[in-house]
Amino acid sequence: MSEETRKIDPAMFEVVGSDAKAREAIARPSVSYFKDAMRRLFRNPTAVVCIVILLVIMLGAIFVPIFSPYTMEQQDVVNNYAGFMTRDANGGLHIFGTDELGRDVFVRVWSGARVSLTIAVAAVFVNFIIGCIYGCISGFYGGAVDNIMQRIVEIIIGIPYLIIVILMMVIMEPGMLTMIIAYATVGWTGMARLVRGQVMQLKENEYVLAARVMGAGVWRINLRHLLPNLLSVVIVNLTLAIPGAIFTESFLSFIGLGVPIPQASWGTLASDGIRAFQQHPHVLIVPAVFISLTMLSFNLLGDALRDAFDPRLRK
Amino acid sequence: MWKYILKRVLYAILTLWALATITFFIMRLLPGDPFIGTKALTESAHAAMNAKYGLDKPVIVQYFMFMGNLLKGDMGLSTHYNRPVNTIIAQAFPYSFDLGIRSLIFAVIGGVFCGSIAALYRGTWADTATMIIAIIGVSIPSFIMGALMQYFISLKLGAAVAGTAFEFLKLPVIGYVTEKHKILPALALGFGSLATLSRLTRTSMLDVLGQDYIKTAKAKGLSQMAITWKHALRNALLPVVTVLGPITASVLTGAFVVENIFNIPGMGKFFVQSIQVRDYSMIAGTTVFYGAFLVVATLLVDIAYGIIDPRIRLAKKG
Repeated sequence: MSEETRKIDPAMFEVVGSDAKAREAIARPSVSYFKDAMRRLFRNPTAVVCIVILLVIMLGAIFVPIFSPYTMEQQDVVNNYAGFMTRDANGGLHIFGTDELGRDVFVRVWSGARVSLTIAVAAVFVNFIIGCIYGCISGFYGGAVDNIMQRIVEIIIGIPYLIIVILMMVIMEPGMLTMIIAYATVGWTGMARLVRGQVMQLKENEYVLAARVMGAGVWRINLRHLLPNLLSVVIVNLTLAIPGAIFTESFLSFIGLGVPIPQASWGTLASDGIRAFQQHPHVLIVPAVFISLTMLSFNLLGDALRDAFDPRLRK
Repeated sequence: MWKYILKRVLYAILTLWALATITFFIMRLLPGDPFIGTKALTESAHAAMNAKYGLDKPVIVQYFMFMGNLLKGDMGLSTHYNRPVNTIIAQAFPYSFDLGIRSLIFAVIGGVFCGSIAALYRGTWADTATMIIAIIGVSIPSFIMGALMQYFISLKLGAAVAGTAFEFLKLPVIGYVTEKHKILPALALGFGSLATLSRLTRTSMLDVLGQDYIKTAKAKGLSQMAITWKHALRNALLPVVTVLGPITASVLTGAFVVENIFNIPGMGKFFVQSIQVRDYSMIAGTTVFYGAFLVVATLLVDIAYGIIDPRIRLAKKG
């Protein structure tokens, strides 16, 4: 090879110029904090399994009672305490057998899922609203307001919440709404404390100062700037609070303060089951499995969410 | 330190007052009349009964009478059992207390043990197994646990070992007479708390094991035993102590249902029965008593925590 061929002729190139805008263009769509957390969550197999289980339970709670050949109250007294997969006189299939009055356990447990999950989710949601408002006010204003509000919370926390819930259930008409109200009266304190702590930390950030300088009001700062930032902690806490609400519901039903007959919740099913389980274990096992599986899934999902939102906590 | 204790005592008193007040007003809100339905009363007898129990006086006077009676320790008469609430509590509470203490001991020892093992052998099968047990324990309500234990341990296992050399394993299904009767209720009641405690101990222990002073202790050549017991466990237990108050509360309220399942003549059984028959003075009495007991228990835990944690003890001196 000669010297000449190695030389590259400058004429082969031309200047394309630099486009300032193109240089600054973002190569990939930006991944927000929330998206990033969700990506981490969906990489966690436990979390995915829990989400699938919970989705199945929720869909079942919505659709099974609609499409089931049996209704919740329908009795088949001759066929009572039938075991799993028994057929009745008309050839209908009782997948989970029947209970003491020959009612189909399959449709009852899914109807129970409706009641129990509605109560749990609604109660936790009400707690979330009250807790957020209380916590934001207390944490944002600080000083004497905070002091008084926190002393009130401390007194309420000191009272065992189940006792207050029981007292409230005794005086009100039994029903789903009563249960939600009773649980929400005392259940918000934990959320209020959590939100307050977060707000106190977050309100020192520069962006809050910037918002204030620009003339944003208290509501705007809280809703637009503080709330989105404390949402991750709150979501984890809500997920972990739902099993507690499910437990409370079944506990109250067990001691006879549950939803009135003919409605059935998982708690009433379990407490009916406990009366007969020594001879007919399936009437207890079915609701027990549903309660435990749901609580387990929410617990594990809560843990997974915490890991996903705050990867530092893991390991 | 004294300031801290004083503050906690003050809160406890305020909490008790709030609880008693709430109970009083909730009981006043109840529809109906305590003397209707028991017997056919004449107009004058009814008035006399109302006067006797002070129900003819204004609410505010009644409130002070109620509070005064409470301070004297008088909680009225149970309409269902027709006995003073005090007598019933005095008779039933020892059972509940006995059961509660047993499950607490089981939960604390078991929970701290499991949590420590899981943290010390992190990532091994021991860790995984313990944490699976823990998460299951958190997810199964105590009454379901109790019923399942009755079925699988008392009935199935009992039937399996009957007539064999292992007959001593047979546990009674219900009742609370011998030590054998007390095993299952205590396990059922304590299992959830055990699970909570072991999760907490594990987290706290992992945190402590990552500290520099553990490295120092290792560098000094201390044995694993000494490091675990003297340096790691002592520090890891601090946060565990804080949850003992809530754990006591959950054990005692959990006893409501566990006592029912195992047919133990404790407070929980009376409480649940009084709810079912709407025996209001019994409900009010038990509520205040339970509340007071739990508030005092929480207070003691808080004070104990203040004593063992130097950061709180010395907070006001520095």
